[in-house]
Amino acid sequence: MTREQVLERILDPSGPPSNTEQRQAFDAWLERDSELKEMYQEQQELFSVMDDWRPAEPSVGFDRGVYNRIAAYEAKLNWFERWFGGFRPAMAGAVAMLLVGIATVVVQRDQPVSTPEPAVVLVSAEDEQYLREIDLALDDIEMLADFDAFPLNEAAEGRS
Amino acid sequence: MADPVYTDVGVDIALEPDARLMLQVRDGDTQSFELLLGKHRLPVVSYLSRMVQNQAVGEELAQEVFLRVYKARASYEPSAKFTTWLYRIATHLALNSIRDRKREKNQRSLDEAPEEAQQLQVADRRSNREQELLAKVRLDAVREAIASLPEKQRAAVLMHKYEELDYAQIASALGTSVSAVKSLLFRAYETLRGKLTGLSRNYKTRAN
Repeated sequence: MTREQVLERILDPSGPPSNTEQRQAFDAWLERDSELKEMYQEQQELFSVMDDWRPAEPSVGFDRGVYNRIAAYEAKLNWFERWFGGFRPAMAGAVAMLLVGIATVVVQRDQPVSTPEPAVVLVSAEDEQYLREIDLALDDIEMLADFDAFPLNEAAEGRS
Repeated sequence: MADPVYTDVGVDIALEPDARLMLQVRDGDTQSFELLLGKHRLPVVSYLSRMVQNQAVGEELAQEVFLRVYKARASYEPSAKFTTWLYRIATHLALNSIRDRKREKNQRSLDEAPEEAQQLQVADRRSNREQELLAKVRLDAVREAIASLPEKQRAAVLMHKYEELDYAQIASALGTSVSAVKSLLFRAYETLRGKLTGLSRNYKTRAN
């Protein structure tokens, strides 16, 4: 047992150690250290004097006072806190589930109706030029058709 | 076997009965609150009455402590002993009350005699038995000596001597370290020994 431990025991309201071995060590310290011995005796005397100050029983209306305070506190709460204030874990779970439900509904509502995506056609500049030529050629044929298929026959005759 | 609880400091402690009751209060069980109130009413009132040196004010503060316990039920987590938590609330309220009363006293006239001193004078006149008077004087000396301690020393002594809290619990209630509590107690008891042990012998001699 160290001197510090002996000091702690001296200041302990429960008194000297109950363990035989520790008690012997404690007593041995007091025997060889007169300062500690005097302190121990004075501390025991002090505890005895302090014991005279006994606790007074709370008044009869003490509990009523507590419950009145609780009632006044609850009266101030709004309906939400009053209903859920005492059940925060359950409330947290319920709120979480509600939020998940709302989020699910919102996500589902915002999603567009699934329609087949149109085929993507990539057109290069060359292709565009080619298509324009075809377009012009078709226009020419249409225009020439108004002249009663002449060019093809005349051209054939002229060339020959 | 009690359920192990992992605290915020990583130590597992057995779930003590009071913490279990408090968890039931958290779940809306009002009977558990009544049980806690019944169990801790007297120690909390005693502690606070001794701290503020006034029974009525002590009771008011104790009622506030239980209201705060009730208000905090929803967020209660058993990370420390229930008693430690309770005394932390009580100590906080007591220290605030002492500071408020000090401020009020400073504002009052210095001529005004303290209420308790007036009561003592009345009691002295009525009492005709020397033993009773000596006991009362001795008790007043104890109260006065404890009241004269700095606030934290006073709180530490009251929790240590009368409420039998250990160093760690007192440290938690005061928001300080265990070594600081040991130091507070050492100094407080030293002061009290100086003031009360001699007086005690005198009164005992006179009473005999």
